[in-house]
Amino acid sequence: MIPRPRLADFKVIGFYSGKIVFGVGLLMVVPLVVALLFREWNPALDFLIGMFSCFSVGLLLQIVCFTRRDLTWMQGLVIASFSWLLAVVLGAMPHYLSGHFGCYLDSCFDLMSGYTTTGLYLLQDLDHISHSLNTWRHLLTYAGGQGIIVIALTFLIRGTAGAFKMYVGEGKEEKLLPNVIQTARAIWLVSLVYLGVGSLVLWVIAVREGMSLVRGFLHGVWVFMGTWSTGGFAPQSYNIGYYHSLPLEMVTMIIFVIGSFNFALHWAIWTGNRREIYRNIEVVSFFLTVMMTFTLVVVGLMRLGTYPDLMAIFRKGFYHLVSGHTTTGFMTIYSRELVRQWGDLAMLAIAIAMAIGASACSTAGGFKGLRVGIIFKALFQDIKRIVSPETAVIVQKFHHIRDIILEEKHVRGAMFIVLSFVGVHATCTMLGVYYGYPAVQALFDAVSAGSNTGLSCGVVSPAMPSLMKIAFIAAMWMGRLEFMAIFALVGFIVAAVRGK
Amino acid sequence: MKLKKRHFNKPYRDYALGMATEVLAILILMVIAVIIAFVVASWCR
Repeated sequence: MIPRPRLADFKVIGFYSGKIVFGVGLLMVVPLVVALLFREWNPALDFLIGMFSCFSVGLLLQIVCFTRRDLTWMQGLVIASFSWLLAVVLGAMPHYLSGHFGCYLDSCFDLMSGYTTTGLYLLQDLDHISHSLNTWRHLLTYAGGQGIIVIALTFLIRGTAGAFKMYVGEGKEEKLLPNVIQTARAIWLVSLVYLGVGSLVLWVIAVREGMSLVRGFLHGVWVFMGTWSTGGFAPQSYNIGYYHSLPLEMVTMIIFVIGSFNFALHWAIWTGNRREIYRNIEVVSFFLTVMMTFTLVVVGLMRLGTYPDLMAIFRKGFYHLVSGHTTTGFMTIYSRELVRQWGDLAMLAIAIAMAIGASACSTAGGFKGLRVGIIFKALFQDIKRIVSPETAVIVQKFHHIRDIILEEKHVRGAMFIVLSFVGVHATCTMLGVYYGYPAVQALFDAVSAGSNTGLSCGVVSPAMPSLMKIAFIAAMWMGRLEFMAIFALVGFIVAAVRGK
Repeated sequence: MKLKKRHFNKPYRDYALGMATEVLAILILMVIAVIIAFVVASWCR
């Protein structure tokens, strides 16, 4: 028998979701200021309407559902998944009012893509959107990379013991500091320091490449936000290829690799534990999988003779491989070039890299290096057990901030998430094949959506069937929150309908 | 006074060193990964 949720459960969920939606409204202040600075009156009005909607719903939920109760695990997880949906639906209003989207579903697709740091988009005429809308898109991806719950914990929610449960619901489990609010602030400290340094470097490069100071500044900040959050949004439709700049490609590559690192790893290195960079299981796993998948890309490109020399293979092949592996999604070639020039082997190698993804508790998506490392360690442990005497006790350890003995719960947790990802990728691929897309292309874009990457070979477009858009929105949402919070929301709804 | 100044400066110096460590480590790892990948791919071909 499933117990039916009580009124108190609904009140807690409504109250905290209201706070988070209110936070989304506050975020819109930034693009509103940009709109006013650049005298973009129509977009300014769009953002005012969006803010009004968020504030109205947020305040209404906080007043109607006012409670002083702390959170249970179920409530924390349901808030994480439900508030993301609310934030998408309400945050999509300025997008839709801009007139660059065919329907509200397309705007919601872009919002989910932004929050989840995916980078796929259905926006039309990207090269001519307003500065304020561009700022909003990139701010979404920057904020989503840290997590909108993390923002709420940093600025809006004060010291509740249950805050950690919401934080876990957003796919982050690690505490950088003993207190979860301090952890959220540490995550913001790392991100803001990099925002300052990275934007400055990209601004200088943009100006050197011939942009004016103001335009170069805007592009520097936007590209940094898309890069650091491993988001993949860029201000131009030709993405990073628009700049035709090797220094910019190199700098963005360094930033998105750093952005894909675990925040706990950043914090360990920043607080003096510098040896962690080469001892950490996620860094080792990332290094090995980059090497293996890049080898496949090079073999694929060499066999087809796509590029004339090794430098060209490095510049195009390595950039896209690492962009996919860190789940960033930046491109320096057109989407269809992947299909027409790269061939199936290189595309599959990038799909594998996208599926593996980067680090846990980072801005990136995918299985995560930690889980891949744990699964391989468990495999080695089993092999050792088979070849050792029956009485031997085989202990396997892995290093992540500290030495940890591998236990069954680690392996079970890692396998659960990996299998859930495989299920989502398979479902979206089947749907694509059902609608007539070639299997490799459907797989490529399905993995890209589910692992929150954003590389596309052309399947994702405004002309895509609505059911596929909905499936991809769900895949991005599930991939970002890493399933547990989604299962909690589904369980909560089932309990509300069928519980006793 | 001296203690106070050191206390203020230390975190920023650590942050800067931490950032430099991360950038340097990435560059080294990437160069190694690319070289090994090119060698293995050439051999496979």
